[in-house]
Amino acid sequence: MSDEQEYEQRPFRSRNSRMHEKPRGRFSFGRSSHNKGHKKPKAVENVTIDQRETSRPVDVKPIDNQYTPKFNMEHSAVKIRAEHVSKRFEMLQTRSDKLKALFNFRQRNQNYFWSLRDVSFEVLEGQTVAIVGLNGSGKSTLLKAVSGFIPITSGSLDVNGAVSEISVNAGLRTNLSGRDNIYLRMYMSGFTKKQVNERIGEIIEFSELGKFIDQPVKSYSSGMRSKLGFSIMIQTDPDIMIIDEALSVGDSTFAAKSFAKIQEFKERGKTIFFVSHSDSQVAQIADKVIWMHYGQLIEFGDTKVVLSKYQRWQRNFAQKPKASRRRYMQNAKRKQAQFDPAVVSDDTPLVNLDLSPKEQRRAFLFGTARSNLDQIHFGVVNWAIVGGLIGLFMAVSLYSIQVASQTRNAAAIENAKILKKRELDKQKRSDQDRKKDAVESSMDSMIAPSVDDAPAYVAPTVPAVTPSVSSSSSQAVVPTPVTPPANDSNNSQPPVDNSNSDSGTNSDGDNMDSGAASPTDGNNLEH
Amino acid sequence: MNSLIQVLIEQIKNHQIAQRIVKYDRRSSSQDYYLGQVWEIINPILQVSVYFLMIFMGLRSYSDRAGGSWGFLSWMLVGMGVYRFISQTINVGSKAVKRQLGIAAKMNFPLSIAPQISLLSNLLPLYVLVLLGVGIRMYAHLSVHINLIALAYYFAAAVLFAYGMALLLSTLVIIVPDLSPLIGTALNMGMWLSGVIFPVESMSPVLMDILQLNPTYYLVYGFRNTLFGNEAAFNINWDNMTILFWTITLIILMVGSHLHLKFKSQFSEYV
Repeated sequence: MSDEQEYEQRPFRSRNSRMHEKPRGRFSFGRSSHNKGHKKPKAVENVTIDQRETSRPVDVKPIDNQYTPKFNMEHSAVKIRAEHVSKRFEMLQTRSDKLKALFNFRQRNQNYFWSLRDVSFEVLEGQTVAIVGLNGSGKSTLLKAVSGFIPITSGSLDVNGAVSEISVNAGLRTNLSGRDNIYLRMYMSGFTKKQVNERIGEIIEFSELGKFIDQPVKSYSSGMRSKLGFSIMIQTDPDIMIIDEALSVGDSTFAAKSFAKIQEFKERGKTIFFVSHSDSQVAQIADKVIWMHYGQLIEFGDTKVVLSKYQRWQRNFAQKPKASRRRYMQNAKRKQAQFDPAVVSDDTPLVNLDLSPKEQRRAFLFGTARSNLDQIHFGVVNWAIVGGLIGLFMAVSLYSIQVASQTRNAAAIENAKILKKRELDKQKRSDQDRKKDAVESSMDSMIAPSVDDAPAYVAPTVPAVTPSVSSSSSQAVVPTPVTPPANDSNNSQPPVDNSNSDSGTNSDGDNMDSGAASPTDGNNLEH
Repeated sequence: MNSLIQVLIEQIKNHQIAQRIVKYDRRSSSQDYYLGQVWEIINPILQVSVYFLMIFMGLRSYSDRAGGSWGFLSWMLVGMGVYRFISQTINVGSKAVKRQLGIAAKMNFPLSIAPQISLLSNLLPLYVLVLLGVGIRMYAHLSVHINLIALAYYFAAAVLFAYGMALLLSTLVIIVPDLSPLIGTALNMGMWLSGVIFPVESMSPVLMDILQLNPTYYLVYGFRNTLFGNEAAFNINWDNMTILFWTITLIILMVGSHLHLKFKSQFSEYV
């Protein structure tokens, strides 16, 4: 399939918004929005010719008034391709408004601010592109969108390759030392310890930090921070470098060194994307310049041409009286708030034929800001699984509570029985003790008579001793403090016990034995 | 389910990276102390000592537990080790994505391993406390059963549960930042409700039945039962609790990974 080969050749990391994408089935499972950019060729039977053509390369006859991606370029050379990129920020007062906006699909919020309006450009491999423009014209937003930090609202933005961004505070941990930050950032970029150890000398040398490298970064000046950030970034060897005004912080020697390094990168075919307010810097490094103006791309072209135009405009603008300048800016800001991507980008129908009528309506009504969220569905199967799990949870928890209460009740009954029995035991034992005392006292009184009379005393003791057997059986079942009283009467018991088990003919003793064998010794209590 | 698998694969793939970062992550959180990372171990031990003095010496109510004071101390240490591992992972992990977001966006760093990093950095106190508990028990000549399979099972269960909670809450905290103080309070409460400090059996029986549904109870008592093997109430209801634990964990993991992937590209808009 030529189609498939074509697709494999484009390893774009894509952050297309919904508009340029095939609608995905409601039943599809969630997939990362970063990996899903490649439009898979649909099964031919399922689609009409018209639908297929939107996603096919250019050799198919384009339908009038329909946007067809220019996929016939040399794919490998294009590093960043932005097509009609717009970025809308919602000007909400509080966080709760933000939350409401997230869940409120009906109401359309009017407080928008379009930071990027219909920006299209293409950056080839090995190019260095500078973005110039006034403050607040969307330069940093564009960089952030390219680096993937913020999602775009509409249009499509394909970035091909690993991106590394550096800004003045390039994500350094301020309470770690410079050296630790080097390790941390290199590790985060996926380097191993060995690789970092190989490079760390070079990084420290390039950063010119010297002894300060072991000081916490919070003690660094902004120049030192950006120097460190830049030194780390060039060693992580990204395909696309994104530099946000970080070059203007260092001193001129460091700047010269950086430029040399950037030249080296350019020769190696790396793409550099940077923002600078220094025209001389731009003229020195950049091949091409993007002139941003209140969210719109005014011109994209060779450095000399665009930069001279931009400088001319700046001079003119600076000469104008203050009031008219302010009026101009206010006007521009108002336009930025009222921008409608449907009106501006004529050749990109906001309502793409790829979308179902319902989705078209929705895209038209609500914009596409929320469509990124919709891309990952919680599929029916997932709902079923979660529902089943919740049901199982409820059932088992109820069941286990019920079982626990039942066992508890049973245990309570058991306990009550044991207590009752213990009381009975106590009573009987005290009886027995009394009798034993009586026997002993009688024995004391009978020391004088002969030993032959002794059996006469044994006979009455037999019924009196039997309770001690029942007490020992209750001990076997429940290890509760019945032991101490049993120990007290230990001295006299063992011989008597034996005599009892020997005298099996005794009906009373028989009963006791069976009671000890059966688990429900509560029967014993009945009599 | 697909997002769960995707997230788990991401975890395994980037495990090496996470392991390398842990050291610096820990260091950055304890950089200002003279004792540095030693506090990670001292702190829970101090906590246990305070509770031990308070309850054992002061209230003197659980001295009849098997093993007397040493037994109770080791019982508490293991419970505290397990619970602290879970609660710290959830607490730190729920803020981890927010914290790493600024750096992560500037390089190709998978955000879903941020909770894994906080999980790994909390493993050391768990090991130390459990070993200490076992050591004390051995010193007191009390029985210790070391069943490695059961230990591995409860360890895996604890890791999955803690990771799932951290992943779910890290997404929710970005969308609704007000949750983060609530998480701290809930985790504090959870310590008392999962029988870390005093046995759940000593509470009212109805409360105990309900508390047994709590997944942290399952983990805390699972570890204790494996090591010391005298948790009768736990053993009776083990099968039901196992089903409950894995149901909850699976739900948390599924919803957490789904929300994470769904909101990943939008995170920066909410920070």
